[in-house]
Amino acid sequence: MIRLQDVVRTYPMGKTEVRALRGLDLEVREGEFLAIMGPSGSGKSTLMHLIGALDLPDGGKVLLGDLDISQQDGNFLAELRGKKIGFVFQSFNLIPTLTALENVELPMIFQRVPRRERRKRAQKLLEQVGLGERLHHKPTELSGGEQQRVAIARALVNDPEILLADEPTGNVDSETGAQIMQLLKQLNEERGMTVVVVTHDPEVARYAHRIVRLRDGQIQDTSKGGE
Amino acid sequence: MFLDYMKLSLHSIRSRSLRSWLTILGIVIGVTAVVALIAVGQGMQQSVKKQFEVIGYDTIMVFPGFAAPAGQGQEQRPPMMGMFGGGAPPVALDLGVLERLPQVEKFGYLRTETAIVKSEKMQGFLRLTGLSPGITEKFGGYFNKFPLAEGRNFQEDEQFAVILGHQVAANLGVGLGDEITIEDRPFQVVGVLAEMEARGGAIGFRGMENALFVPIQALEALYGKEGTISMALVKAAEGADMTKVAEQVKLILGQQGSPVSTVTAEEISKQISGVLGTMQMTLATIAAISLLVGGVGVMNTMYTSILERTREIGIMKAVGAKDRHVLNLFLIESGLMGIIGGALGTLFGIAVSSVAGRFMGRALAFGPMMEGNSFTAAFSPGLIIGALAFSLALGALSGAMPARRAAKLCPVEALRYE
Repeated sequence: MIRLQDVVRTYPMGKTEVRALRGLDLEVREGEFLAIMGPSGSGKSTLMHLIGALDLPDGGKVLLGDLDISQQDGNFLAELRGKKIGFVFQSFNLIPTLTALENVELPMIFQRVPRRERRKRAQKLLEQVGLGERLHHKPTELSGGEQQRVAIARALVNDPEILLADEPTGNVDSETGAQIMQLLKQLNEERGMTVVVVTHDPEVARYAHRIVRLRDGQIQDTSKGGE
Repeated sequence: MFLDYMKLSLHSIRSRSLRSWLTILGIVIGVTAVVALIAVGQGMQQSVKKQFEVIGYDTIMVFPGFAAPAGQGQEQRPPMMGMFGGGAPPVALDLGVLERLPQVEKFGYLRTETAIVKSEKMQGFLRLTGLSPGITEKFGGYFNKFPLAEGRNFQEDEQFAVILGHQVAANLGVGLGDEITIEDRPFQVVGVLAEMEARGGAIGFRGMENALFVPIQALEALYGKEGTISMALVKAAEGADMTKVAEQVKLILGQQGSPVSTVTAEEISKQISGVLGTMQMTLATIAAISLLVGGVGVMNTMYTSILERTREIGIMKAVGAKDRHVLNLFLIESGLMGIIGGALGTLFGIAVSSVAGRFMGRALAFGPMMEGNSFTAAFSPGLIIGALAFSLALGALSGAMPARRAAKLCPVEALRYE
């Protein structure tokens, strides 16, 4: 489903350049639950941004199906992200001035989903993640676990094919973390959604079918997940 | 879609309410100043226009003896006083020649002298105005409609009859049917004019309250010099070119040996409007500078807002917002600040100019122009719509550069921004 071929990504840092990814090859299969692990600075987040069409490589190809997204412009990528990719971030990245419901509705605004339909879908998803009672709370009025569940609901509203999670349990306690991972696993199993999780936590990686370990911008090894 | 953006923008404005309101205040002050100044200016122009409409734009006032010798080109204007039916020394003119001009519909004239007037109660030197037959009907506007409280107007061939202004009748202690003596001749009071407000017309007969009107024949009988006039009023035929008619009148009367000068309502009106217009433009330009400062305020706020919300922009882009979505969002936000400021500014402008209009009317009164004239600021729909549209455009334009910057942000960098 997603193929990265000889992908290179460098960032300028002061006068020098940091090579975050150095000729990386990776394939993510449809319906797969993949964990990307590695120490900080190994290129995990950069890899996730490339898979999620948030960033473009300096060299190599990123193929989504047969489409080489490294050749597309910003607006095409935005459309792609809006329709096919859902993001879950470590720091939740909810918009603080909007309520839980409004945060979940946000991606649908850009996809021109009618207001009534938007509200219905957002409400349903928030109920599914157990936040039916917290629809009109702002992020600051929610716990970390609740915020992350809002973020997951937001990632799911446009029914994406791929769900990308960057350290999704990084800012929650272990019990909530387990609940969140359970939720992701459920989405993968029940909906057949492709899930890619970036983590440094082996407990989290255990949920995945396959674990890819990065080191210095390259794949160090690949192993099977724990369950 | 647009409504959703509006909602998001309002959320954002509300979440930074103090800063947003301060920014909006900048626009409010600018728009208030501009609207108030324009409204006051338009009010002044309208009030001047209204005054001239009373005597009519088709009326030419002719004053004997003020033109410069031919060839010098520079024409001397009669002193303002002359326009108000007094002051100018009477000169003999045969106005009959005006009948030869097809563009002249009708004309009348008056002659002013100072006379010793006696009643049983008092005596004194008073201004006496001789009227040509029917002039008060022909040029009603000039005489403020010549409203008689009692009695009647002069009859044809009547000679020793007088019509008194309300005030002078009271001072002399006489009424309808009583007799007074003017230059030792008895005159019968045939009419008394109604009480009227102090005449504030730019042009027209001034001091009707204290005037003594007699038929022109009476004045000629008292002072001799038949055919002498202080001023003539000429009404041009419908559709005639006022400037041309005035030139012809000047020419034909000038041929009699004594030069005349003419003034049309249009000329004075144009001069006054010109002065007012320049003044208004100057003030509005100064006010517009404060609007510009308001615009800079919006720009500053938008840049700050974008810095603060860089991460939010990253989030929006991550969940599918295109560049133009972000651009629209910020443009709507700054436009909203502009139009809110514009709406409030327009309201304040209307309030301020309504109050200030009265004071300014007095402060800016020059000569007899505004005297006693009620003056109100004028709010045309164009002014209100223009103010709103301008403030919306100002807000959106001020927000354009910041919004463009926001739209161009790279999603990954925006998400990383702390």
